[in-house]
Amino acid sequence: MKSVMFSLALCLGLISPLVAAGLEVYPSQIVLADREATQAVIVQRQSDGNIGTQINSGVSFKVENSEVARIEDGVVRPVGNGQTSLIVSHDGQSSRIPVIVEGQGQEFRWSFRNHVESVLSKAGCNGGACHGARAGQNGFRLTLFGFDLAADYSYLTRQARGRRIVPSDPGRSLLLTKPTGALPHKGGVRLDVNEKEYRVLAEWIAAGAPGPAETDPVIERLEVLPPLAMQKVGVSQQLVVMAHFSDGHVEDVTRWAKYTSVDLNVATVNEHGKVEFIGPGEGAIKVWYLNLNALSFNTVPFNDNLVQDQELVENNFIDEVVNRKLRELKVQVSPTCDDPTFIRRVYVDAMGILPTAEEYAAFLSDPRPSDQKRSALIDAVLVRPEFVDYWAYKWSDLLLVSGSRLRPSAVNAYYDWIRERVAANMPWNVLVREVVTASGSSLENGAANFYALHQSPEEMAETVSQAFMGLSINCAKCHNHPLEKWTNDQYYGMANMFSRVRAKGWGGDFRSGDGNRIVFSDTQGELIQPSTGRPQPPRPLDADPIAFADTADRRIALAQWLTSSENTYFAKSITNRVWANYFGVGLVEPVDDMRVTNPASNPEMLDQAAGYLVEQGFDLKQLMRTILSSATYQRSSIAVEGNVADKRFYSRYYPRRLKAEVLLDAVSQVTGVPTEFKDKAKGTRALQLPDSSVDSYFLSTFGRPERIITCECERTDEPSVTQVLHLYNGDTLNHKLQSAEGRIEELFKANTDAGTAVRAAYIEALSREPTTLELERLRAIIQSETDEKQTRLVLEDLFWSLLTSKEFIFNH
Amino acid sequence: MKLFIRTVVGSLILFASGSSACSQDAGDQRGPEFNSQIAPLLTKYCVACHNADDAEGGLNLETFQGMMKGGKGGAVLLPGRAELSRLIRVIEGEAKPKMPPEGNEAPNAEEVAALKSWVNAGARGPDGQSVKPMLITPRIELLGKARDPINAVAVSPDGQLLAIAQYGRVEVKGVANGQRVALLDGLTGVVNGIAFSQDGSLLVAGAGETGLFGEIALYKTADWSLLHKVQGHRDSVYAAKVSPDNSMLATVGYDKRIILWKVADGTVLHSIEGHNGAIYDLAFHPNGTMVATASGDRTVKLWDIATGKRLETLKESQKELYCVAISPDGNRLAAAGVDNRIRTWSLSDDFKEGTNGLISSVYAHELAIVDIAYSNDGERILSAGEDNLVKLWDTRLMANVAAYTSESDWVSSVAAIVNRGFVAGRLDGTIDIYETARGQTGEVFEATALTDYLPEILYEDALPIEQIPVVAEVEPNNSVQTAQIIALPVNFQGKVFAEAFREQTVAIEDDLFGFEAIAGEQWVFEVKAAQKNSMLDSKIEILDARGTPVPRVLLRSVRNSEIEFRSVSSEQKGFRFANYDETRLDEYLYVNGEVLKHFRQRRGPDSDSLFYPENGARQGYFDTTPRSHPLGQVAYVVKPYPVGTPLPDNGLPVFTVNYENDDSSDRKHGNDSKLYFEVPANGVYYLRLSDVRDHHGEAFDYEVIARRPQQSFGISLGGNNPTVNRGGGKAFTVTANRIDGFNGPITVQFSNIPDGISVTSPIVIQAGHSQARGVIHVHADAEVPTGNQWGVAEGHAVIGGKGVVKSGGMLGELKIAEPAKVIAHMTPVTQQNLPTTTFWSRNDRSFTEATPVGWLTDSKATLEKLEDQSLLAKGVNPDNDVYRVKYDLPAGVLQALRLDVLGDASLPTGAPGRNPDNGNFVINEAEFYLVNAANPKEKQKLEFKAAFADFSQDGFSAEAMLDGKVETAWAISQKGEGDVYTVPRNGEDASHYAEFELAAPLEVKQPSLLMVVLKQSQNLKQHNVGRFKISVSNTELKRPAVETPVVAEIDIVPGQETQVRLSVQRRGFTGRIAFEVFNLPHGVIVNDIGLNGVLIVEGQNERSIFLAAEDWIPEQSRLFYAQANVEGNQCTLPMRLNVVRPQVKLNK
Repeated sequence: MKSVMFSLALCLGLISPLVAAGLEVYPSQIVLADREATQAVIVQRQSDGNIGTQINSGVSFKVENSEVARIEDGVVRPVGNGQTSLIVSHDGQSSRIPVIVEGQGQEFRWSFRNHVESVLSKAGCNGGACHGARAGQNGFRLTLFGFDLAADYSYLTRQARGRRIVPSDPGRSLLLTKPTGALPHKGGVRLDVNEKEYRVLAEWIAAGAPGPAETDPVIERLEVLPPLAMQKVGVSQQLVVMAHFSDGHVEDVTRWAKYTSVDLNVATVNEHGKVEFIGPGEGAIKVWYLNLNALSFNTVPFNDNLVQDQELVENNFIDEVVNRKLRELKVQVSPTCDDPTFIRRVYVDAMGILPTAEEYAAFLSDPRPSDQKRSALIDAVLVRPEFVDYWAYKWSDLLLVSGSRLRPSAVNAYYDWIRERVAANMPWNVLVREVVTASGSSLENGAANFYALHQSPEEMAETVSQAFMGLSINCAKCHNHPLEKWTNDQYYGMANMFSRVRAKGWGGDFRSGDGNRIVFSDTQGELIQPSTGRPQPPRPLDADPIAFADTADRRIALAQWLTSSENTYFAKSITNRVWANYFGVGLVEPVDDMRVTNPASNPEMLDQAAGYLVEQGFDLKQLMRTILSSATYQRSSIAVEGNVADKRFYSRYYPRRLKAEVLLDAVSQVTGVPTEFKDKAKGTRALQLPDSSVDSYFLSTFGRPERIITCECERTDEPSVTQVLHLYNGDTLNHKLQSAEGRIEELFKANTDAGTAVRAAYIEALSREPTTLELERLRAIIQSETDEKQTRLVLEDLFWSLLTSKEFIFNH
Repeated sequence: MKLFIRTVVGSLILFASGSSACSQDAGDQRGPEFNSQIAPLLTKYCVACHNADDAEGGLNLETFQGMMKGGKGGAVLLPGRAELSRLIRVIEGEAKPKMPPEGNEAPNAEEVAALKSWVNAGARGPDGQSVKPMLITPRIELLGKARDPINAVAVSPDGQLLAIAQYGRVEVKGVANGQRVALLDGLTGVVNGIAFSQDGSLLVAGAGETGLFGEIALYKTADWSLLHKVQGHRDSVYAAKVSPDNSMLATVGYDKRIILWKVADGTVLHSIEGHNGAIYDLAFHPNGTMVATASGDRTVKLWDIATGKRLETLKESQKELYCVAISPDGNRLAAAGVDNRIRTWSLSDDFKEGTNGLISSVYAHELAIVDIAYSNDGERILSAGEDNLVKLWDTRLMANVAAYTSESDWVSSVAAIVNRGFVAGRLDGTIDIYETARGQTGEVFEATALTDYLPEILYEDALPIEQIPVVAEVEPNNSVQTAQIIALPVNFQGKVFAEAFREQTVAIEDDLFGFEAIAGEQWVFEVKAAQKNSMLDSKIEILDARGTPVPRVLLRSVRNSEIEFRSVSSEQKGFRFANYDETRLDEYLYVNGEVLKHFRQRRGPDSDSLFYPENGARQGYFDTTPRSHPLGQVAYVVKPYPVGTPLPDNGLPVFTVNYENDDSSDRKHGNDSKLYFEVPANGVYYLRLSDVRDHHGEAFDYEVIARRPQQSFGISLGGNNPTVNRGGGKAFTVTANRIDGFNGPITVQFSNIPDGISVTSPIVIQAGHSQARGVIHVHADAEVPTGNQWGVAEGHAVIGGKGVVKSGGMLGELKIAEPAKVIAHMTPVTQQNLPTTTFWSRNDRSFTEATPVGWLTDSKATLEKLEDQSLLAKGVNPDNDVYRVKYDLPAGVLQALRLDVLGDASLPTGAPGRNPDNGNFVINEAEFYLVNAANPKEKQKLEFKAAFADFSQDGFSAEAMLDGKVETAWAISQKGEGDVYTVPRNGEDASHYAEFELAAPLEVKQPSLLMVVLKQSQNLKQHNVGRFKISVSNTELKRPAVETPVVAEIDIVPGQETQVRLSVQRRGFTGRIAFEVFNLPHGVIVNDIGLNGVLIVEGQNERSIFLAAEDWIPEQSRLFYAQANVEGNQCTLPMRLNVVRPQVKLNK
C-alpha cells in the first residue's frame, strides 16, 4: 500500500496541473515526440486544490501556432516541429498548456515491444480465453497479456513455418486476414482495416517485422489522469493514460490501456476509459498497460449536502481517521450502541461465545459510567480462555490445521503449538518467524507441519505470501502477474528461498503413515525456473538477492525480511485480518487480497493501524484492545438516514451472521445441551476443535472452511436454503430442544413462572430483556397451556423462535 | 506509409459456384451478388464456426449449397422473406442464440442491410462458373526490403543440385558452383516442402495460400517442365515427397490431412485424416510401402500406402513434433520437435502396432528442433534447432559429434549432400554448405562413467571397535581453525552443544576434527548417536584444508523427469515419475539431493517404478540420503562422472555430490550418519558434524568412529521352517547383509537335502542386489525329514580377490502338509513331459471287486445288482437315502478299500449320481464294518488314515466321508461357465473313485462280510448315488523311488524374447490362477504380464509366457520359478535361464 500513496504523491509532484481557479487541465504539458503521437486533453473542475468532476461541455481549445500542432475533438495532433501553447477556456477562465512537437519528418517505426504487443493485448488476442491460453487456440499461441516478448515474437514470425506473416505481401499475413474476417476466425472480427490498430500491425510487418531489441525504450511508469478526484453520482469521466518510457518520452496510451472498475457499485468503465459514477463510495479504476498497473482514485460522496447532526466521538486514532473519511464522503453516522448490544457484540467478536445470564447481569449492573465499564469489559475479555480458543481456531484456519491432510498426531502437535502461542500472546512477527523457519520433527515442533502441508518450494512461497502478506503470487508462476507487479522472475526468486527446505520421513499418501516429517534446511540445491532452465537468485519478492553460495538457511533471511517493519505488506495484512474480524468488513476486501490494485476503502486508516501494530511490537491483543475501545466499533448497527448505503466506511456496525462454529456453540450454550463430536470429550465446543475435518453436518452447512488452501474464501457466510431448513427442521436444534437435560428441561422441571422463563430465554439467547409487549404475549401463551406436555412444547417453541430469529443468528 | 486498398474495399473470398441457376447480368432488383458481396460477410462473421470441418449446429456456411441446406434445426433462409429467415433473425437478435456470439463483433447496419436485401431478392446463388478460391487483401506498401526466408532445402540424390524453397518460388542451383539452374515460380504462397524423387528425375514442391488451400507442383528435372500443379488440402502444405518408385506423391499440411496422389495424373488416391494437429513433416519408407508423418499432436504415425490405413502410432514425445526422417536402410525412424529431444525407433518389417520400439531419446537442443535429416550413409543424423545450432549425431550411440553455430537466424531446413556434408537454409534467407566429409566431425563424447561403489580394498584385520582410541571433543571446535587434529582410526566423542552457543556468541554449532590422509586410502565414518538415544540427528561432511566441501562425483543430467501422481515419503521403495518408459534399469535418478538407482520398471500405468535395494526402503547412492519429495518435484536421469571431467553443456544441469551424509544411505542406522571416503589427494581433511535440523543441546551427544572399511557380507534366510504341500513347492528368500559397501555377487549353496526334497541351489544374489529367491519342493511321497538339520546354506563371494564363505543357517523345520491342489510346472515349449518324476500313482496297487450279497435302502428306491458287481439305484429318487450293502470278504490282509461311482445310461446325464440336473451326488458319510459271517452281531468298524479321490468337488473332499460329520460330504461336480455345475468326464467316461487307506493293515482271518453304509442325508435333495461298487486291496502301497528332478533349461539372447510354457495340474482347484515369476536375472522381465499378473483362467491348464531380456544383460545362468497365488502359493520347480550372446550378433 505504501506504493499507492507514494505513487500518488509522485504523480502529483511530477506533473502538477497548471492551477487556474476552478479549472484543472490534464496533462499539464504536452510533448508529441513523433509523427504518430497524439495527446487527449481533459478539463476538470477544481476548488480548494481538490480536483472535481470533468467539464464536458463549453470548453474551447485553441493552439496558438497551427504550424506546430492542431486540436480536434480534444485531441492534440502534431503538425510540425516546434513549440507552442494550448489555450483552454471555460466559463471565463482559461489555462495555458505548453506544447512541444518533435520528430516530424523523421522516420517512424512501430515497436514490437510497445506497439504490436499493445494492439494484441487491447484486441484481446493474448487473453486467457483466446491465444493467451496455455495451449493457445487452433495451433496459435501467445503469452498471456504479452509477458514474454521473445516467445510472442517467435510465435508470430517463426513458428508453424512462419505461416502468420508474409514479409513480401504483408496484407496476406494471417495475423491480418484472420482478425479482420477476410479468413474465418473463431475469435470473431477483432480489427478493422481502417483503424490505427490494423495500421500498426501492417506497417510493422511491412517494415520487416523487427523483433524486440535491447535498445527499445521500456515502459517505466504508468500514470492515470486524473489520479484523484471528487466525483458525483451520475457524472462521467474520461480518463487519460500516460506511459512514461525509459528514454524519457511519454505517450498517450489511453486507446490501448485496459480498464477495470474496482468497485462496480460505485463506478463502471468502458473499454475507452470512460467512467460512469453510479453510486457513492470510493470508485477506483484500475488501468493496465504493458504489464504495468495504475489506479485512478475517485471519491463519490454519499450525500452532497450533509451536515453531520451530531458531534462525533473520538476515543482514539481509529475514530479520527475513520471520521475524516466519513466527513469527506458526507456519510451520516449511527449513534453509539447500548450496553446489552455491546456485551454480546464483544463476546461474539473476541471469543465466539454469548454472555451468560450472570455475566450479562453483572455488566449491566456495573454502576460505573458506560465508557469505563466497557473498557473494563474489554480488558476482561482479552484474558479469557475462550479468547484463546477463538484465536487459536482462527489461526488454525489460516495455517490449515486439518486431519484431512495431516495425521492425527500431527494435527494435535500443530494445534497445540498455535494454542500455546495465542495463550502467551506471542507477537505476530515472532510467531510467523517461527512458522517460516520451522525445522525438526512435525510431531515435536508443531510449526514444522507448515512444511508437511506445503511440500514444494512453489507452494511454500505461495502460501507464505498469501497467509502473511495477503499476496497471491500464484499467477506469476507461469507468467508475469496481470494484476500485480510480480513477475515470473520474482516468483522464482521468492520460491528459490525455499528450495533447500527438505524433509525426511512422512510424505506420499497423506492418509497413511505416522505423520512424522522431519524438516531441515540443506546447504545446496536450487529451484529451476522452467522458462529459463536456470535458477533465479534467491530473493524475497522485492528485496535484494542472497548469494547462491551462502549455505545458511535461506528462510532465516526470508523471515527477517517478511516480518520487518519495512515490509508494509506484512503489518497491513495481519492488521486487515484483525480489523475484518471485528468490523465485519476489511479495510481491504477480500481480506487477504492486499495487492496494490485492490486499494483499501480508507488507505490512511490501514496505514495508521498497521503502523500502530508495528509500534506495539506486533502485539495483536493491543491492537484488538484499541479497536474494541474505539467509538467506531461501538456504533449501533442500526442504519440511519444517510448511511444506509455505506458498507465500507464504518459509519455503523455491520451486522453479520455468526460463524458456523460460533452459531453451533451458541445454540449449545443457550439450550444447555452440548454438541458431541466424534472422539472428543463431552462439552468440547466447536471452537475448541483442533481439526476442521471432524465430522459435523451443521458446521459444513454453515460454511466451516476445509482448510485445504490458504484463502479467506474457504469460509463462507453465504446463506442457503439448506442452512434455513437445517436450523428450522434439522436435528441439531430440535434434538437440543427436546433433550431430557439442559435449560428447557430445567425450566420445565422447576415449574418456572412463565415471565421468568421468557426473561431467561431472552437474556441467554439475545442478551437483552424482552420488551413489554414480547413478555406479555409470550407469558399469555405459556400460561394458557394447562397440559404438562403442552407446556414443555411451548417452552421448546419459545426457544425455537428465539434461536431461529435473525437477532440471534446475527451479531449486531 | 500509405495504405492502398484494391478495388474491392475490405477483403473477400470468391467461392466455388454450385449448380444453382446463374445469370451474367446483375441488376439491382436481383439483389447483391453472392460471391462478391455475401460470401465475404459470411466468412467474416460466421464461417469460423460453421464450416465443413466444424459445422456447429450442423450448419455449413462455407458454400452456397451448405447455406441452403440449413442446419440441424432446418432451413436458415426463406428466400424473399428476410424477416422470417433464421439467419437474419439471429443476427438481429430476434431469435436465440444471438449471432455472432457475445463478445464478437457483429455485422454493422450496412452489412445486415446487404444480407437482408440479398435474401429479399430471392437469395440468389453465385454468378458465373466455378471460381478458384482466392484471397484479396489490402496491399501494404513495404517499408524496406522484405525478409525472404528460406523455408526448405533439398539436395538431389547425386549431390549435384540444390533446390531452395521460398515465397512463391523454388530456385534450383548447382551445389558445386552456386549457379542458378532453374527458377520455378508462379507458386501460391510459401513453399514449405521441397523434395527430389529418389532417382532424381522429379522435384515436388508443396505450397499454398495460408488458411485457404494447399498447392502442389511437380516438375521434371530433365527440363524443369511442370508436370502437374494441383490444389488440395484446406491450408498450406508443409511437406511433399515422391514415393521411391515415382508412382505417388504424399503431402501433409496444417489442415491435419495426409493426401496420397497419383504422379501420373495428379488425382487423389487417399485423403487420410487421423492426426489431431497440424502435420509438419513426412517421410517415405525406402521400400515404398509406408509413409510416416509427424504432427503437432505429439505423435508420429505410420500409414500403409496401399490402403491408407494407420499401422502404428509412436506416442513417446511430450510436445509437438516438427520433423521425421527414416534411415536409408529403412530400419530406423527419427523424430523431433518442441520437447528438444531426438527420439529414434526401430522399424519392424510390417510396421504393425506395437512392433516399433523406442531405441533412444536424447536431449539435443535447448530449444525446439525444427528439422532433422539422415546422412546418406545413415551413420549421422543432422538436427537444426531454434537455438540457431545445427548438430551432428552418431546414429549408433546417438552421441553428439559436432555442433555448428549459425549466428544469424534459425536454420529452417537441413539436407544432407552425399559424400560432402549438408546444406542449411535459414529464415533470414541465407544458406550455407557445411563440409563434413573431410574428417571435420568431432569426437564422440564418451567420458568414463563412474560406479556407485568404492573399489574393493582388503585392509589388514581391523582393530576391534572397542580398541579404537577414544578422543573427547574439546570446544571450541566450530571451524577449521579451531578443529582438533587427530590421527585415524579414532572414536571421537562429544556433544553438539556449546556454552558459547547458549550465550549466543556463535551463530552455528558444528563440531570439527581434522586428520591427515593419503590419496587412494579409504575411510568409513560412522556416527553412533540416535542408536544410543541421543537427540542428535547427525550430518557429517568432509572438508578440505580450506574448509570447503570435498566433491565426490559429478552427475550429468541426460533427461529430465518429475514425480507424478502423489508426493513421496523418504521410506517408499518406489514411486512414479514422468518419462519412466525412457528410463532404463540401473540408470540413476537424481531427485533433489537424493540419488536413486532404477530397479524395476513400472508394470503398468497403476504401479510404481522401484528403486534399489529391491527389498525394504529405497537406498541412496553416493551416500546421499533418501528424502521426502513433493508431487511435481523435478528429477533428472543422470550419469556419474569423476570430479573434473569436462562435461559439454547439454542444456540440462550438472550436479556435484560432495562427501557428506545425513542418514546412512543403506538405511540400517536410522538417523545416524555413515560416510565412505576415498581420499582424492594427500593432505589434511576435516570432518564436520552437525545436527541436520540445526538443533543442539545437552542431550545431543555422539561418537564418530573413523575406521578402515572391512568389506564383507552376511546372509539370512526368510521363509524357513516352511510348511510345504506334498507335490508342491514353497518359496523362500536369501537376503544379503552387505557390509561396508561390498557390492559383488553372492552365491548361496544348500547342502544336506533329504531324498524327496529339492531346494533351489545355487541361488545367486546379483551384484548390488540384496535378495534372491528359491523354492523348496517336496515330492508327493517324500518322508518328513527328522529334526531341522537339513537345508544348510552357505554364501560364497570374492572380495578384493579373495574367496569368502559365510554360513547362512538352515532352512529349519519342515512340515509336510496335504497334497497340493494345484501343481504348477514350467517347461520349455519344445518339451512335452513335465519336469518331475511321476507323482504319487496308485496304479501299482491292485483291487479286487467285492461281491454284494445283500442290500437295503431306507427309502422306496431299489438297488439292482449288475454283472460287474455294481449296484444300480432305480425307482423313486428320494430326497435323502441310506444304502446298506453286505459284501463277501475273503480271508486275507486288508490294506485299502475303494468306492467306484459309475455312470449308467439309465441315470440323469449318464453320470454316477441321481441328481436330475447334472448327475452329481453327495455322500455325507461312508461307514465300513467287518462282520462275522457266523455271528452278524459281532462287527468291527474300520478305521482309516487317509482318503483320496481322483476328483473332488470344491469343498467336497473324499475325507469328508470319514469325518463322522453329516454336514460334510464327497461330491464330484465342478463349476463351469455361467455357474453351471457338471460332472467332469474322461472322454465319455463319467466314473470316479475314492480310496480309503486303513489306519493299519487288518488281517481277516476267516471269510467274513463287509458291511458298507453310504449315507446321503444332506439338505441337498435327490443327490443319491446312482451306481457304485466296492473293491478291496491287500497290496501295500509302494512308494516309487524319489529322485531329484532334472532342471529344465532355456536360452535367451540379450535384446530378444524367449518363450516358456506354464502349466498346472488341477487337483480339485478349478478357479483362475495368477502367477508371478521370480528370481529372473536382473533385466529379464515377463513381457506379457497383465494387470493381475500372468493368468491361467478357469477351465484352462496351460499357457505360454514370453520372457524379454534387455540388451545389456551379461551372460549368466540363473534358476527362476513361477509362483501361483492360490492354494498356499504353490511354486514350480526352478528352471534354468541361460543368457547367451551369440558370437555373431544378427543385424535386423
